[in-house]
Amino acid sequence: MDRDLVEQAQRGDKEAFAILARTRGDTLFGIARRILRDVGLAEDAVQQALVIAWRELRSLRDPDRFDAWLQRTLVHACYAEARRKRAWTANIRALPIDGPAGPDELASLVSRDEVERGFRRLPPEQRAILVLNHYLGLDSNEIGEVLDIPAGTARSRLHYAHRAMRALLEADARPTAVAGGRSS
Amino acid sequence: MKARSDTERILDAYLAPEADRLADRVIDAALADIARTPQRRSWWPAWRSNRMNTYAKLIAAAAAVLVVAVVGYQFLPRNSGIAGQPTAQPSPTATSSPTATAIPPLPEGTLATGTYRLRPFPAETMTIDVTVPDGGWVGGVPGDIAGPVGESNGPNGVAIAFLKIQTINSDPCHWDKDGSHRAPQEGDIAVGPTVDDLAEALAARPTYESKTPVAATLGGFSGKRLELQLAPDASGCDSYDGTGNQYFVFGGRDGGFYAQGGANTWQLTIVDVKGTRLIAVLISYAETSSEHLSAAKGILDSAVITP
Repeated sequence: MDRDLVEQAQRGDKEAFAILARTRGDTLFGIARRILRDVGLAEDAVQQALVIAWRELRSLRDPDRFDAWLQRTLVHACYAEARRKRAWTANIRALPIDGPAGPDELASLVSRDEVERGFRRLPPEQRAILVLNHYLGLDSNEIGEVLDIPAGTARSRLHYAHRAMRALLEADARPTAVAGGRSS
Repeated sequence: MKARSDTERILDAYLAPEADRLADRVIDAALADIARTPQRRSWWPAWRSNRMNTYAKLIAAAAAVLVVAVVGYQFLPRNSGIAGQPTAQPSPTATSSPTATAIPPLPEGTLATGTYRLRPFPAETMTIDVTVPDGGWVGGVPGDIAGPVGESNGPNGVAIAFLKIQTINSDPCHWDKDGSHRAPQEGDIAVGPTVDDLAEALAARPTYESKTPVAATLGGFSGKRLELQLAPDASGCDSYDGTGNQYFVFGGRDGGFYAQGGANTWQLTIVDVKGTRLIAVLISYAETSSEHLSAAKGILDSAVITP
């Protein structure tokens, strides 16, 4: 069914693309919101990704790969949003996302603020790979498919992202003498 | 099965799926953009699967070797002379015309000397090719270039950015009109569609010093240039998220571009690129070296804009 819609959209059928966009919008937003930690930026990234996806759709050779391709387009749109913001708002921290409190397990391990602070300090590329793994539940092969990198590279990047996150959490847990500094 | 580490469990919980709901207006806005956006004709496979199995890889590699061999054979000299002797070079007119070298997209990070293609508005087709000198200039995707020293920041940085805006703030210092501490927000002055509309609106604001707009060109397109000298101190200005104080001249989506701290000098070149009002901003500070400022102007002068 979706393959038909993708093929129709590749032939210029805007209605078919609209159906594809609406059925995937919430998931795309979920990914972008977690990578960017800002609702407004996430909405902008999704909008950009959809327009770019439409423009470049004919370059997708295998319609069955549409979702991975669209997610890749979104991840790159998130990078662009993060950099657009970073370039000129280097000292700005994105607003926390309002939402329900995390599951009890999180509270039992570490405070949500600590996780939030640590996650925000990761570069967008590491945030993206963690979101693909922990939010979408993708394994290294599937992450490689989305990011268009070999599975081994995806596995390595995931490992380093976890290690960086662990280091940030551990650093945050230690008392510090000096506060402040740049965030990106 | 490998036990999940504490970090992985924390991230499982922190990034857990919730009821994410994308606002209809976002999809509607995207579809409105799409209605005006032609699909690019595919001539090169931009998307490839990395799930090619080993057998397929071997076939592909063999095919590639064959292609290289066949193509290489075509270019072997037909009239080999004695080994070591020079062979006749083909006449420039005897074979195909020279092919244009592809201009690489602007990368993130330190730039080597060369020409780069900027796509400042990713959803649009406009490209801006600029030539960057040596010295460690810094690229910021999709279309920002910052100086080798201080990057875009004061007291001695220099930077170039490209924008497209429709509104400005009557008081750039007090831009947080809805009190949300969120940015960007729409400006309270809607500007007409022409280059002159924007240049005159910017020059008319009394909240910063500005010079009279003068005729200028950028990348082969004509327009206006004016300079804004922003307030020396932004400490009394509204704050985004309670972090620092910001000075937003522009409103709207691209109003995220702002001055943080005082004494920014913005040289704005506004041109009409076949119906798109493009703004090139050259940011500098009192301590920006004349060498870097001159180089930044040279980058702008090198611009070739393709709508």
